[in-house]
Amino acid sequence: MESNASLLLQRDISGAELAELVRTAKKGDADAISKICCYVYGHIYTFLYYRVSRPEDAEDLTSEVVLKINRSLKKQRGNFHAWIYKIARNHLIDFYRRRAVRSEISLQDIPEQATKRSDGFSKQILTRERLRRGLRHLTEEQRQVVILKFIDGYDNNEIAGIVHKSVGAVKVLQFRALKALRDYFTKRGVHEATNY
Amino acid sequence: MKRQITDILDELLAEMRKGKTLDDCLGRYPEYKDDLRQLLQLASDIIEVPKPEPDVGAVQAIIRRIEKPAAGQKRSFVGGFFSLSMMPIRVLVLLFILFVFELTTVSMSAKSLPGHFLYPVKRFAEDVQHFLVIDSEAMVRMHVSLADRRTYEFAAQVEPGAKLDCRLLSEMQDEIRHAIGHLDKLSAESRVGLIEHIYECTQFQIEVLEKTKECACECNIEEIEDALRHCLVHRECLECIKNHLRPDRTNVPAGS
Repeated sequence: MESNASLLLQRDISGAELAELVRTAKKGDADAISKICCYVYGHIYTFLYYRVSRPEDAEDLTSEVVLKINRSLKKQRGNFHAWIYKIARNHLIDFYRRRAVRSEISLQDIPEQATKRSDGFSKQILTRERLRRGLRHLTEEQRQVVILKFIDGYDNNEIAGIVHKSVGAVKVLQFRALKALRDYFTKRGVHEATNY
Repeated sequence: MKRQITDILDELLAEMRKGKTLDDCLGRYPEYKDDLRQLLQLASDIIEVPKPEPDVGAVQAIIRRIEKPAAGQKRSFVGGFFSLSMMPIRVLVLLFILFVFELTTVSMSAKSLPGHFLYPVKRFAEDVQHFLVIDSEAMVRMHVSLADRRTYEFAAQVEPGAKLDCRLLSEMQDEIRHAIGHLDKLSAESRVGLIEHIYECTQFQIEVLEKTKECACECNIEEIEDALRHCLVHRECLECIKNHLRPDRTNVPAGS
Protein backbone atom coordinates (compact mmCIF):
# COMPACT_ATOMS: atom_id res chain seq x y z
CA MET A 1 0.00 0.00 0.00
CA GLU A 2 1.35 3.42 -0.89
CA SER A 3 2.06 5.76 1.97
CA ASN A 4 0.64 9.28 2.17
CA ALA A 5 3.92 10.76 1.06
CA SER A 6 3.97 8.54 -2.03
CA LEU A 7 0.50 9.73 -2.96
CA LEU A 8 1.56 13.31 -2.49
CA LEU A 9 4.82 13.03 -4.39
CA GLN A 10 4.34 12.47 -8.08
CA ARG A 11 7.55 10.67 -8.93
CA ASP A 12 6.48 9.29 -12.30
CA ILE A 13 5.60 11.86 -14.91
CA SER A 14 6.35 11.25 -18.58
CA GLY A 15 8.82 13.50 -20.37
CA ALA A 16 6.14 15.10 -22.57
CA GLU A 17 3.84 15.67 -19.61
CA LEU A 18 6.67 17.21 -17.62
CA ALA A 19 7.65 19.50 -20.49
CA GLU A 20 4.04 20.69 -20.76
CA LEU A 21 3.84 21.22 -16.99
CA VAL A 22 7.05 23.25 -17.00
CA ARG A 23 5.78 25.35 -19.90
CA THR A 24 2.48 26.06 -18.10
CA ALA A 25 4.19 26.67 -14.76
CA LYS A 26 6.46 29.27 -16.34
CA LYS A 27 3.32 31.21 -17.26
CA GLY A 28 2.37 31.23 -13.58
CA ASP A 29 -0.23 28.45 -13.49
CA ALA A 30 -0.55 27.59 -9.78
CA ASP A 31 -1.73 24.03 -10.40
CA ALA A 32 1.20 23.24 -12.69
CA ILE A 33 3.62 24.77 -10.20
CA SER A 34 2.24 22.58 -7.39
CA LYS A 35 2.49 19.46 -9.55
CA ILE A 36 6.07 20.23 -10.53
CA CYS A 37 7.02 20.87 -6.92
CA CYS A 38 5.47 17.55 -5.85
CA TYR A 39 7.37 15.79 -8.62
CA VAL A 40 10.64 17.51 -7.86
CA TYR A 41 10.34 17.02 -4.11
CA GLY A 42 10.60 13.23 -4.26
CA HIS A 43 13.54 13.20 -6.63
CA ILE A 44 15.50 15.85 -4.77
CA TYR A 45 14.80 14.21 -1.43
CA THR A 46 16.23 10.91 -2.67
CA PHE A 47 19.22 12.73 -4.14
CA LEU A 48 19.96 14.50 -0.86
CA TYR A 49 19.01 11.63 1.47
CA TYR A 50 22.05 9.62 0.40
CA ARG A 51 24.36 12.60 0.78
CA VAL A 52 23.64 13.82 4.30
CA SER A 53 23.76 11.92 7.56
CA ARG A 54 20.28 12.72 8.89
CA PRO A 55 16.90 12.41 7.14
CA GLU A 56 15.80 15.67 8.82
CA ASP A 57 18.64 17.52 7.09
CA ALA A 58 17.59 15.98 3.80
CA GLU A 59 14.03 17.22 4.40
CA ASP A 60 15.10 20.75 5.27
CA LEU A 61 17.44 20.95 2.34
CA THR A 62 14.83 19.53 -0.03
CA SER A 63 12.30 22.15 1.06
CA GLU A 64 14.84 24.91 0.47
CA VAL A 65 15.80 23.52 -2.93
CA VAL A 66 12.15 23.18 -4.00
CA LEU A 67 11.50 26.79 -3.01
CA LYS A 68 14.58 27.84 -4.96
CA ILE A 69 13.39 25.88 -7.99
CA ASN A 70 9.95 27.47 -7.70
CA ARG A 71 11.46 30.94 -7.49
CA SER A 72 13.69 30.56 -10.53
CA LEU A 73 11.43 28.36 -12.64
CA LYS A 74 10.79 31.16 -15.14
CA LYS A 75 14.50 31.40 -15.88
CA GLN A 76 14.88 27.65 -16.50
CA ARG A 77 16.39 26.70 -19.87
CA GLY A 78 17.59 23.38 -21.31
CA ASN A 79 17.38 19.98 -19.61
CA PHE A 80 14.96 20.28 -16.69
CA HIS A 81 16.39 17.36 -14.71
CA ALA A 82 19.96 18.56 -15.14
CA TRP A 83 18.80 21.97 -13.94
CA ILE A 84 17.07 20.76 -10.76
CA TYR A 85 19.97 18.50 -9.77
CA LYS A 86 22.41 21.33 -10.37
CA ILE A 87 20.44 23.53 -8.00
CA ALA A 88 20.32 20.71 -5.44
CA ARG A 89 24.04 20.04 -5.74
CA ASN A 90 24.93 23.72 -5.33
CA HIS A 91 22.61 24.00 -2.36
CA LEU A 92 24.23 20.99 -0.77
CA ILE A 93 27.66 22.55 -1.22
CA ASP A 94 26.35 25.72 0.45
CA PHE A 95 24.94 23.63 3.27
CA TYR A 96 28.32 22.09 4.03
CA ARG A 97 30.05 25.41 3.66
CA ARG A 98 27.53 27.08 5.99
CA ARG A 99 27.90 24.54 8.69
CA ALA A 100 31.59 24.06 8.05
CA VAL A 101 30.93 20.35 8.17
CA ARG A 102 33.55 19.00 5.89
CA SER A 103 33.30 15.52 7.26
CA GLU A 104 29.92 14.34 8.38
CA ILE A 105 29.49 12.06 11.37
CA SER A 106 30.91 8.85 10.03
CA LEU A 107 28.18 6.38 9.30
CA GLN A 108 30.63 3.66 10.13
CA ASP A 109 30.48 4.85 13.74
CA ILE A 110 26.82 3.97 13.97
CA PRO A 111 26.48 0.42 15.23
CA GLU A 112 24.77 -2.04 12.98
CA GLN A 113 22.77 -3.72 15.74
CA ALA A 114 19.55 -2.82 13.95
CA THR A 115 20.33 -5.66 11.53
CA LYS A 116 19.53 -8.14 14.26
CA ARG A 117 15.98 -6.87 14.57
CA SER A 118 13.37 -8.83 12.77
CA ASP A 119 10.52 -6.38 12.14
CA GLY A 120 10.14 -5.10 8.60
CA PHE A 121 10.49 -1.41 9.44
CA SER A 122 13.89 -1.77 11.06
CA LYS A 123 15.08 -3.96 8.27
CA GLN A 124 14.06 -1.36 5.70
CA ILE A 125 15.88 1.44 7.52
CA LEU A 126 18.90 -0.77 7.89
CA THR A 127 19.06 -1.54 4.19
CA ARG A 128 18.88 2.14 3.33
CA GLU A 129 21.50 2.86 5.95
CA ARG A 130 23.76 0.14 4.62
CA LEU A 131 23.37 1.44 1.12
CA ARG A 132 24.10 4.93 2.31
CA ARG A 133 27.29 3.73 3.94
CA GLY A 134 28.30 1.97 0.76
CA LEU A 135 27.52 4.98 -1.41
CA ARG A 136 29.81 7.11 0.70
CA HIS A 137 32.73 5.06 -0.60
CA LEU A 138 32.02 5.90 -4.22
CA THR A 139 33.13 8.93 -6.15
CA GLU A 140 30.55 11.72 -6.54
CA GLU A 141 29.88 10.77 -10.15
CA GLN A 142 29.54 7.04 -9.38
CA ARG A 143 27.21 7.81 -6.47
CA GLN A 144 25.05 10.02 -8.65
CA VAL A 145 24.77 7.38 -11.36
CA VAL A 146 23.76 4.68 -8.84
CA ILE A 147 21.12 6.92 -7.25
CA LEU A 148 19.71 8.13 -10.55
CA LYS A 149 19.68 4.72 -12.19
CA PHE A 150 18.79 2.20 -9.50
CA ILE A 151 16.94 4.32 -6.96
CA ASP A 152 15.31 7.03 -9.04
CA GLY A 153 14.84 4.89 -12.14
CA TYR A 154 16.20 7.18 -14.85
CA ASP A 155 17.42 5.64 -18.10
CA ASN A 156 20.95 6.07 -19.45
CA ASN A 157 20.06 8.90 -21.82
CA GLU A 158 18.44 10.91 -19.03
CA ILE A 159 21.39 10.29 -16.71
CA ALA A 160 23.82 11.33 -19.45
CA GLY A 161 21.91 14.61 -19.75
CA ILE A 162 21.93 15.18 -16.01
CA VAL A 163 25.60 14.41 -15.41
CA HIS A 164 26.71 15.97 -18.70
CA LYS A 165 28.46 12.83 -19.92
CA SER A 166 28.04 10.42 -22.83
CA VAL A 167 25.91 7.30 -22.48
CA GLY A 168 29.09 5.22 -22.81
CA ALA A 169 30.66 7.10 -19.90
CA VAL A 170 27.52 6.52 -17.84
CA LYS A 171 27.77 2.75 -18.47
CA VAL A 172 31.40 2.78 -17.37
CA LEU A 173 30.53 4.74 -14.23
CA GLN A 174 27.71 2.30 -13.50
CA PHE A 175 30.01 -0.71 -13.85
CA ARG A 176 32.72 0.80 -11.67
CA ALA A 177 30.21 1.93 -9.06
CA LEU A 178 28.69 -1.55 -8.74
CA LYS A 179 32.14 -3.10 -8.53
CA ALA A 180 33.22 -0.65 -5.83
CA LEU A 181 30.03 -1.29 -3.87
CA ARG A 182 30.45 -5.04 -4.18
CA ASP A 183 34.03 -4.79 -2.91
CA TYR A 184 32.90 -2.60 -0.02
CA PHE A 185 30.09 -4.93 1.02
CA THR A 186 32.31 -7.98 0.65
CA LYS A 187 34.95 -6.40 2.85
CA ARG A 188 32.32 -5.46 5.44
CA GLY A 189 30.95 -8.98 5.54
CA VAL A 190 27.56 -8.04 4.22
CA HIS A 191 27.86 -11.00 1.89
CA GLU A 192 26.50 -13.18 4.69
CA ALA A 193 23.11 -11.71 4.04
CA THR A 194 23.32 -10.83 0.41
CA ASN A 195 25.90 -13.26 -0.94
CA TYR A 196 27.86 -10.75 -3.09
CA MET B 1 33.99 -7.75 -32.30
CA LYS B 2 34.10 -8.50 -28.61
CA ARG B 3 31.64 -6.40 -26.61
CA GLN B 4 32.77 -4.52 -23.57
CA ILE B 5 31.70 -5.75 -20.19
CA THR B 6 30.18 -2.36 -19.33
CA ASP B 7 27.78 -2.67 -22.31
CA ILE B 8 26.92 -6.25 -21.42
CA LEU B 9 26.17 -5.31 -17.81
CA ASP B 10 23.93 -2.49 -19.00
CA GLU B 11 22.11 -4.77 -21.43
CA LEU B 12 21.51 -7.42 -18.78
CA LEU B 13 20.31 -4.83 -16.27
CA ALA B 14 17.75 -3.67 -18.84
CA GLU B 15 16.59 -7.26 -19.40
CA MET B 16 16.28 -7.91 -15.68
CA ARG B 17 14.10 -4.84 -15.41
CA LYS B 18 11.88 -6.31 -18.08
CA GLY B 19 11.41 -9.43 -15.91
CA LYS B 20 14.11 -11.88 -16.96
CA THR B 21 15.73 -13.92 -14.20
CA LEU B 22 19.36 -13.55 -13.23
CA ASP B 23 20.24 -17.02 -14.52
CA ASP B 24 18.51 -16.42 -17.86
CA CYS B 25 20.54 -13.29 -18.31
CA LEU B 26 23.84 -14.81 -17.30
CA GLY B 27 23.22 -17.77 -19.62
CA ARG B 28 23.69 -15.49 -22.61
CA TYR B 29 27.22 -14.55 -21.59
CA PRO B 30 28.76 -17.58 -19.83
CA GLU B 31 32.28 -16.14 -20.12
CA TYR B 32 31.27 -13.21 -17.88
CA LYS B 33 29.06 -15.27 -15.59
CA ASP B 34 31.28 -15.02 -12.52
CA ASP B 35 32.04 -11.31 -12.93
CA LEU B 36 28.51 -10.22 -13.60
CA ARG B 37 26.50 -12.38 -11.18
CA GLN B 38 27.42 -10.36 -8.10
CA LEU B 39 27.04 -7.05 -9.85
CA LEU B 40 23.59 -7.89 -11.22
CA GLN B 41 22.51 -9.25 -7.85
CA LEU B 42 23.72 -6.10 -6.14
CA ALA B 43 21.96 -3.86 -8.68
CA SER B 44 18.77 -5.84 -8.17
CA ASP B 45 19.04 -5.42 -4.40
CA ILE B 46 19.60 -1.68 -4.70
CA ILE B 47 16.51 -1.38 -6.90
CA GLU B 48 14.51 -3.16 -4.21
CA VAL B 49 15.63 -0.82 -1.47
CA PRO B 50 12.53 1.24 -0.67
CA LYS B 51 12.82 4.84 -1.73
CA PRO B 52 13.39 7.19 1.17
CA GLU B 53 10.18 9.03 1.93
CA PRO B 54 10.03 12.46 3.47
CA ASP B 55 7.65 13.45 6.22
CA VAL B 56 4.21 14.17 4.74
CA GLY B 57 3.90 17.30 6.90
CA ALA B 58 7.09 18.75 5.41
CA VAL B 59 5.88 18.13 1.87
CA GLN B 60 2.47 19.66 2.59
CA ALA B 61 4.04 22.66 4.29
CA ILE B 62 6.21 23.42 1.31
CA ILE B 63 3.32 23.03 -1.13
CA ARG B 64 1.19 25.35 0.99
CA ARG B 65 4.00 27.91 0.89
CA ILE B 66 4.23 27.67 -2.87
CA GLU B 67 0.46 27.90 -3.29
CA LYS B 68 0.29 31.46 -2.01
CA PRO B 69 0.31 33.20 -5.36
CA ALA B 70 -0.92 36.56 -4.17
CA ALA B 71 1.70 36.91 -1.47
CA GLY B 72 4.31 35.54 -3.85
CA GLN B 73 3.40 38.01 -6.57
CA LYS B 74 3.52 40.93 -4.16
CA ARG B 75 6.92 39.84 -2.93
CA SER B 76 8.19 39.25 -6.43
CA PHE B 77 7.14 42.74 -7.52
CA VAL B 78 8.81 44.46 -4.58
CA GLY B 79 11.73 42.04 -4.53
CA GLY B 80 11.96 42.22 -8.30
CA PHE B 81 12.47 45.96 -8.27
CA PHE B 82 15.40 45.60 -5.90
CA SER B 83 16.92 42.64 -7.74
CA LEU B 84 20.15 42.93 -9.69
CA SER B 85 18.45 42.52 -13.05
CA MET B 86 16.39 45.68 -12.37
CA MET B 87 19.52 47.78 -11.83
CA PRO B 88 19.27 49.84 -15.06
CA ILE B 89 15.60 50.61 -14.40
CA ARG B 90 16.43 51.52 -10.81
CA VAL B 91 19.13 53.91 -11.96
CA LEU B 92 16.75 55.50 -14.49
CA VAL B 93 14.01 55.90 -11.86
CA LEU B 94 16.53 57.43 -9.46
CA LEU B 95 17.79 59.83 -12.12
CA PHE B 96 14.23 60.81 -12.98
CA ILE B 97 13.41 61.48 -9.31
CA LEU B 98 16.60 63.56 -8.98
CA PHE B 99 15.76 65.46 -12.15
CA VAL B 100 12.22 66.26 -10.97
CA PHE B 101 13.55 67.25 -7.55
CA GLU B 102 16.20 69.48 -9.09
CA LEU B 103 13.73 71.08 -11.47
CA THR B 104 11.25 71.80 -8.66
CA THR B 105 13.94 73.23 -6.40
CA VAL B 106 15.43 75.43 -9.11
CA SER B 107 12.05 76.79 -10.17
CA MET B 108 11.12 77.41 -6.53
CA SER B 109 14.40 79.22 -5.95
CA ALA B 110 14.04 81.53 -8.97
CA LYS B 111 12.31 84.27 -6.97
CA SER B 112 14.31 83.84 -3.80
CA LEU B 113 16.21 86.79 -2.32
CA PRO B 114 19.52 86.94 -0.44
CA GLY B 115 19.13 85.32 2.97
CA HIS B 116 16.47 82.84 1.81
CA PHE B 117 17.43 79.18 2.16
CA LEU B 118 16.89 78.60 -1.58
CA TYR B 119 19.03 81.57 -2.65
CA PRO B 120 22.25 79.46 -2.88
CA VAL B 121 20.36 77.08 -5.20
CA LYS B 122 19.44 80.00 -7.41
CA ARG B 123 23.06 81.15 -7.57
CA PHE B 124 24.25 77.63 -8.26
CA ALA B 125 21.75 77.28 -11.12
CA GLU B 126 23.08 80.57 -12.52
CA ASP B 127 26.65 79.28 -12.33
CA VAL B 128 25.61 76.14 -14.20
CA GLN B 129 23.83 78.24 -16.80
CA HIS B 130 26.94 80.41 -17.18
CA PHE B 131 29.08 77.33 -17.62
CA LEU B 132 26.80 75.93 -20.33
CA VAL B 133 26.52 79.08 -22.46
CA ILE B 134 29.05 79.17 -25.30
CA ASP B 135 27.57 81.62 -27.80
CA SER B 136 28.72 85.24 -27.23
CA GLU B 137 25.33 86.77 -27.99
CA ALA B 138 23.63 84.46 -25.52
CA MET B 139 26.37 85.27 -23.02
CA VAL B 140 25.65 89.01 -23.29
CA ARG B 141 21.91 88.37 -22.85
CA MET B 142 22.62 86.21 -19.83
CA HIS B 143 24.80 88.85 -18.16
CA VAL B 144 22.15 91.52 -18.76
CA SER B 145 19.52 89.23 -17.30
CA LEU B 146 21.74 88.55 -14.25
CA ALA B 147 22.40 92.29 -13.84
CA ASP B 148 18.63 92.81 -13.84
CA ARG B 149 18.18 90.11 -11.20
CA ARG B 150 20.88 91.56 -8.93
CA THR B 151 19.30 95.02 -9.29
CA TYR B 152 15.86 93.68 -8.33
CA GLU B 153 17.38 91.81 -5.38
CA PHE B 154 19.17 94.96 -4.28
CA ALA B 155 15.98 97.05 -4.62
CA ALA B 156 13.99 94.47 -2.67
CA GLN B 157 16.18 94.79 0.42
CA VAL B 158 15.93 98.57 0.59
CA GLU B 159 14.19 99.80 3.71
CA PRO B 160 14.42 103.35 5.11
CA GLY B 161 17.47 103.60 7.34
CA ALA B 162 18.33 99.89 7.06
CA LYS B 163 21.88 98.72 6.39
CA LEU B 164 22.25 97.26 2.88
CA ASP B 165 24.09 94.22 1.57
CA CYS B 166 26.57 96.01 -0.68
CA ARG B 167 27.96 92.86 -2.27
CA LEU B 168 25.01 93.05 -4.66
CA LEU B 169 26.15 96.50 -5.77
CA SER B 170 29.46 95.25 -7.03
CA GLU B 171 27.77 92.19 -8.63
CA MET B 172 25.35 94.43 -10.49
CA GLN B 173 28.27 96.39 -11.93
CA ASP B 174 30.23 93.25 -12.73
CA GLU B 175 27.41 91.77 -14.81
CA ILE B 176 27.11 94.96 -16.88
CA ARG B 177 30.89 95.10 -17.31
CA HIS B 178 30.95 91.47 -18.52
CA ALA B 179 28.08 92.15 -20.92
CA ILE B 180 29.92 95.14 -22.41
CA GLY B 181 33.13 93.11 -22.54
CA HIS B 182 31.49 90.39 -24.66
CA LEU B 183 30.21 92.93 -27.20
CA ASP B 184 33.65 92.98 -28.78
CA LYS B 185 33.18 89.42 -29.97
CA LEU B 186 29.96 90.20 -31.86
CA SER B 187 29.28 91.54 -35.33
CA ALA B 188 28.05 95.13 -35.74
CA GLU B 189 24.47 93.97 -36.52
CA SER B 190 24.24 91.81 -33.42
CA ARG B 191 25.63 94.57 -31.25
CA VAL B 192 22.96 97.15 -32.13
CA GLY B 193 20.07 95.37 -30.42
CA LEU B 194 22.12 94.19 -27.46
CA ILE B 195 23.57 97.62 -26.66
CA GLU B 196 20.07 98.97 -26.33
CA HIS B 197 19.28 96.13 -23.98
CA ILE B 198 22.35 96.80 -21.81
CA TYR B 199 21.63 100.48 -21.88
CA GLU B 200 18.10 99.95 -20.52
CA CYS B 201 19.45 97.76 -17.75
CA THR B 202 22.07 100.37 -16.81
CA GLN B 203 19.42 103.07 -16.82
CA PHE B 204 17.30 100.94 -14.50
CA GLN B 205 20.28 100.50 -12.17
CA ILE B 206 20.82 104.26 -12.09
CA GLU B 207 17.16 104.86 -11.18
CA VAL B 208 17.26 102.26 -8.43
CA LEU B 209 20.48 103.62 -6.99
CA GLU B 210 19.22 107.21 -7.02
CA LYS B 211 16.03 106.21 -5.20
CA THR B 212 18.00 104.07 -2.75
CA LYS B 213 20.38 106.93 -2.03
CA GLU B 214 17.48 109.04 -0.78
CA CYS B 215 16.44 106.65 1.94
CA ALA B 216 19.59 104.62 2.60
CA CYS B 217 21.46 104.43 5.88
CA GLU B 218 24.29 106.94 6.03
CA CYS B 219 26.85 104.22 6.35
CA ASN B 220 25.93 102.99 2.82
CA ILE B 221 25.80 106.31 1.05
CA GLU B 222 29.44 106.25 -0.02
CA GLU B 223 29.12 102.75 -1.58
CA ILE B 224 25.90 103.72 -3.38
CA GLU B 225 27.48 106.87 -4.78
CA ASP B 226 30.45 104.85 -5.92
CA ALA B 227 28.13 102.36 -7.69
CA LEU B 228 26.18 105.21 -9.22
CA ARG B 229 29.40 106.70 -10.63
CA HIS B 230 30.22 103.36 -12.21
CA CYS B 231 26.75 103.14 -13.73
CA LEU B 232 27.11 106.58 -15.23
CA VAL B 233 30.45 105.62 -16.71
CA HIS B 234 28.82 102.49 -18.20
CA ARG B 235 26.03 104.59 -19.65
CA GLU B 236 28.50 107.00 -21.21
CA CYS B 237 30.47 104.17 -22.62
CA LEU B 238 27.32 102.62 -24.11
CA GLU B 239 26.24 105.92 -25.59
CA CYS B 240 29.64 106.22 -27.17
CA ILE B 241 29.36 102.77 -28.72
CA LYS B 242 25.83 103.52 -29.87
CA ASN B 243 27.12 106.61 -31.64
CA HIS B 244 29.75 104.57 -33.38
CA LEU B 245 27.15 102.10 -34.52
CA ARG B 246 24.83 104.65 -36.06
CA PRO B 247 23.69 103.60 -39.59
CA ASP B 248 26.09 106.04 -41.24
CA ARG B 249 29.02 104.53 -39.24
CA THR B 250 28.32 100.79 -39.35
CA ASN B 251 31.68 100.19 -41.04
CA VAL B 252 33.50 100.81 -37.73
CA PRO B 253 35.48 97.63 -36.93
CA ALA B 254 34.56 95.47 -33.92
CA GLY B 255 36.33 96.44 -30.69
CA SER B 256 36.83 100.08 -31.66
